[in-house]
Amino acid sequence: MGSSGDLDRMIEQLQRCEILKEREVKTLCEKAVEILVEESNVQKVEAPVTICGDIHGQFYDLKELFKVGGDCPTINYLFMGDFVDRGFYSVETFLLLLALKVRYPDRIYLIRGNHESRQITQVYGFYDECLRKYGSANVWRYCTDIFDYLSLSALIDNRIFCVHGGLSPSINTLDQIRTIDRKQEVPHDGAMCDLLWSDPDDIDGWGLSPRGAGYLFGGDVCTQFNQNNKVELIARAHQLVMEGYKWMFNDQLVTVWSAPNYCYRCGNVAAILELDEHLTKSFKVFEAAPPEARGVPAKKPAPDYFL
Amino acid sequence: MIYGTNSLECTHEASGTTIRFDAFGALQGWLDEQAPPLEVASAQEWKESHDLTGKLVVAYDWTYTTKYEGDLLLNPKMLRSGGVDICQVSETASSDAHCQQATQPALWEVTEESIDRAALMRQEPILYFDEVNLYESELDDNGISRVNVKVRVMASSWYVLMRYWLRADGTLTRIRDTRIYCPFHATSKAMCDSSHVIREVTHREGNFEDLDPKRAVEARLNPDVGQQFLPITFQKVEKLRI
Amino acid sequence: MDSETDDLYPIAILIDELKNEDIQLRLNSIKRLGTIALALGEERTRSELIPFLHENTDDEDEVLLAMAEELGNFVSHVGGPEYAYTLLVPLETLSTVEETVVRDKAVESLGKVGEVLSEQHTVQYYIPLLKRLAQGEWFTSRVSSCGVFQTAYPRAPPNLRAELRSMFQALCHDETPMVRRSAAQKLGKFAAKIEKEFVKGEIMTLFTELTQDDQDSVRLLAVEGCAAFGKLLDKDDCVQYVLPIVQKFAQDKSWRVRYMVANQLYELCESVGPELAKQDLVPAYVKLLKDNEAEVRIAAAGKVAAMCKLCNNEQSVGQILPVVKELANDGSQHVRAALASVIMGLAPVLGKAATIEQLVPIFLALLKDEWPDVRLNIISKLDHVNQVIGIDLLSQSLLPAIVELAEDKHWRIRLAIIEYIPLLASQLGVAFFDEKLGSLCMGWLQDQVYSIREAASTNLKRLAEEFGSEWAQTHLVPSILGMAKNGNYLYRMTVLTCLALLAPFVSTDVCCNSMLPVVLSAAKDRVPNIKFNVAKLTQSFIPLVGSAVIDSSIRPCLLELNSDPDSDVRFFAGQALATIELQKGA
Repeated sequence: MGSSGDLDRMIEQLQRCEILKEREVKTLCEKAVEILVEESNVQKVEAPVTICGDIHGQFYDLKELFKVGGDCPTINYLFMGDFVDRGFYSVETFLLLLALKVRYPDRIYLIRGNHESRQITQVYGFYDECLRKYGSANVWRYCTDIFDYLSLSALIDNRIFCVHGGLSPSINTLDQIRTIDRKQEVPHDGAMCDLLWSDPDDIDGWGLSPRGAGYLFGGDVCTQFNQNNKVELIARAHQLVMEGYKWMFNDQLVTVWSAPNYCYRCGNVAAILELDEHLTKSFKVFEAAPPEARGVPAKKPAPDYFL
Repeated sequence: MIYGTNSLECTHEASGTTIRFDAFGALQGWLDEQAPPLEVASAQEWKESHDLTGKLVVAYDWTYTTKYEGDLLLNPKMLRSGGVDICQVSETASSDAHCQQATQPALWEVTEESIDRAALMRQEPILYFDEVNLYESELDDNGISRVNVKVRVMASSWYVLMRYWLRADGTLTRIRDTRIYCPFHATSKAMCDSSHVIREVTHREGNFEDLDPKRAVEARLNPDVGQQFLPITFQKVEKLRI
Repeated sequence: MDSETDDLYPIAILIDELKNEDIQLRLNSIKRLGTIALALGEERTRSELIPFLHENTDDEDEVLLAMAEELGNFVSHVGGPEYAYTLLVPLETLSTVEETVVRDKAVESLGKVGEVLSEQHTVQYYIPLLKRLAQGEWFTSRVSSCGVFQTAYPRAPPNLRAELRSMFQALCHDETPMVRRSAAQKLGKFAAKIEKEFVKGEIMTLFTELTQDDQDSVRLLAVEGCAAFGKLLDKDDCVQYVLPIVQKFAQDKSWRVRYMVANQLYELCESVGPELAKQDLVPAYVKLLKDNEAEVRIAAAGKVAAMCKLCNNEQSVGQILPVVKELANDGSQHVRAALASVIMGLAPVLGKAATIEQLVPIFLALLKDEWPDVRLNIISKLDHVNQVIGIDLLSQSLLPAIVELAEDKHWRIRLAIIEYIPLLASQLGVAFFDEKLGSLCMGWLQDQVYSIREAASTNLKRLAEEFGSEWAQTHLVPSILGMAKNGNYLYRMTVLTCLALLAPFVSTDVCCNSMLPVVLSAAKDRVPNIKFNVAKLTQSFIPLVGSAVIDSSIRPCLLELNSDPDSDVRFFAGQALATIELQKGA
């Protein structure tokens, strides 16, 4: 292991939706740490690049994404987090993206979403999936250790800022993000938490989420941030949008969502945002992979003697 | 996610009396309930560690708790236009000519009767089964809130369970069940009067504090298990004569 | 664990791991039971390992499944057929557990072990085991027992056989549907092992009863048995017993059963022979074509061509064709799509006149169907049409359908029609193609979706194969070169791909003097992805051009790429340079 040949074989295997052996996962993760540790909290990315939102373990829909957008490394990709949980194939999805990252570090960038966390993955499926597929939690442990090394945001050609959730009241400049010590579990509060959890909303200034934890931010906050940092656009993911992408705040912010028919029942389309070398934007909207491409037929619920 | 085209209608063909479940009714039940905003477990700690001055507090019941128990439509003309995923269940066992003359409007009234659970536990062949979601929310990764309806029809009865289920992680589980049971009685004309439907509404709420931790995890993730361990906060049984 | 380390792996540890708390370790150990048994020797395997396994049959299902499987291959480890009976105890327990996959595997292994037992052991151990299973209190053991009869019966002495048959009979009448389902499923295999006189009598009665079961899931499994029974019986018996059952099933109240009949009817027709099929089964088939359930009509529509071949022309035109006409307007697009994919198969049966008069109008209607899959299915079978009536009659109707599919908003539909373009090209001829379809093919190169651009590139290659190099040089190459300066790197990439695919089909002159310079100049592109694609694609040119061209232009270009700041560019340039060296060496 370590040569590009081994990695190419692993990538081929994962592309068939077959899991790697536990010790292969371990070696892959060791390699990944070496690469990810070098990345900045605000990772510099050059156009052309294609921006993607949440995937959530929908492996066959990720394959669909690559069919529409093109394969890596032919096309450059930036994934804005939430690779795991909820779908049936979090293991295969995350390991495929990670193997591509290790094989082509300059062609694909992965930043952290709020689901890339030990606590969240124990409730929303990734932990259980690892146990089911490997019989132990070791693979979950290797992967969640990698999560701690994932970058928090990306900056494309100094003009487009990409982050999973949104802004934080304790962050005014990109330099403030650069000073965060990110190598830890996602904390319950503070700038790092906000970047992964907050949502834009049609309000003025900052708002408190109805759940009592987490922030909402308005268009004025977004304008101020973009001006301070001389960026023209914030691209983020984190929230389901039925049309795959959604502009807000006079085109200063866009939400990109890349999990079609989310949770296999929401009926939404997904999108990716293609940026060419001149940063010309083009959204590619796509639907869930057809049933024959995913191996599992969509079935009616089985009758049960509920009481 | 609102499944606006999903619904379940159970119609007594002779009288047109219909019991209907749909997302709009369920959401209206949420508006009517006006439950106070719930705070997630980390909210207090979070507030204390953050400067909230000048920040707008958005407050509404984000758990979408609903008091919905289904709609009763007495006249076929009142039927709203159907969507695409309607599963209609017809009660045909007592739809003979004699019954059509019953014109008394049907109403839910309190009863001492109860749902025949023993009958429902018999593994009688299920002739028709379906399950539809009305709405659900991931609560921005703070748990789940969902309303769904299941129906099964056997030779001797039909049975519906509409369940509102809330799992607010680290805070509480809330289950509100509306069960509708209709036995098909013997079909003699004299028995027509006794054609009736029973509705049982049960609200439960709690956080499984007293349960051993392994059991509690299962109870939180599976409402069928959870409901066995939650204390009842409200219950009523009603009957609808048709 | 690699096989070469097998011998080194300490047996003691494996045995220890059979009891480990970690399920993964237990599982690994169970999967290597054979190794453990070899190490212990036959006697200790019998006296220690097998009893130990039997004590541990309350493990996780995954472990039990592995155990059930391993035990089936264990005869040699316990000392051969003579001692095979010792395996029956744990397998009996495993065939009563709750998890179906474990039980199925245990029954399979019971079959393997049962095959090697002596008659004495069959009577002493195997048949009593079967009795316990078949009369078990819990339904899981009765379900499992159904699969053991096929092994036990032929090995049982004749005086015990009547009892076995009556035990199976009881299972067919079991009060639990799961047991009856299992009996219905295994009846065919059991029947194949039974003396012919009993098949016609007792077994046929059981089969008939199962076909009347009030659970549709039981009837469904019985339908599956019809074709198998048809083959066991001679023709007269088949007509007497099976035919009425099929006719009845075709009108079953459960659509799942009717669906199964629709799917199996053709095979059944084969068992009873064409004469009887025409007379007794075609009317049933026509009814299935008109079934209320779309699923049934889909299954039936898919067999239209096969059934018509079985019938004569008169019956096809008189009975089946009118229904086919109705199906072409069916409310379900899936029915229409199923019909569209087989309808041209009717043409040889109907003959040219009837085809033009009756079939072509249906064909044209389906070609205008609102559902793209229906149109695609028609187009996919175009060569069949051409064989029967010639394409000229249809070409003017085809064109609008093709253009519409080419612009469909779903990329998979566009992809599907692109894949049929070479077929269309070969059927329609070069003149029609140039005039009507050429610009479509070039347009796809600039599609929004990557897979379409990729398929469009391959399509050009296949067209070059079909129409020849002269045509490719004049019709394809200039237009492609014209797109080489596109402002978007995605489309420049497509141009490079096309050039590499077409290079083998053009003259050396065009390849070296028109194509290669464009490819190599892209090595100076600002986008690294273009640069490393140049490096990759030069590999297509290396075998085609002489070593002079390689040395004068390809190698210098690659050497420059090999010192690019981007590591992927360097990697692929290095690979291409290695290819050059390799070719030189050869």
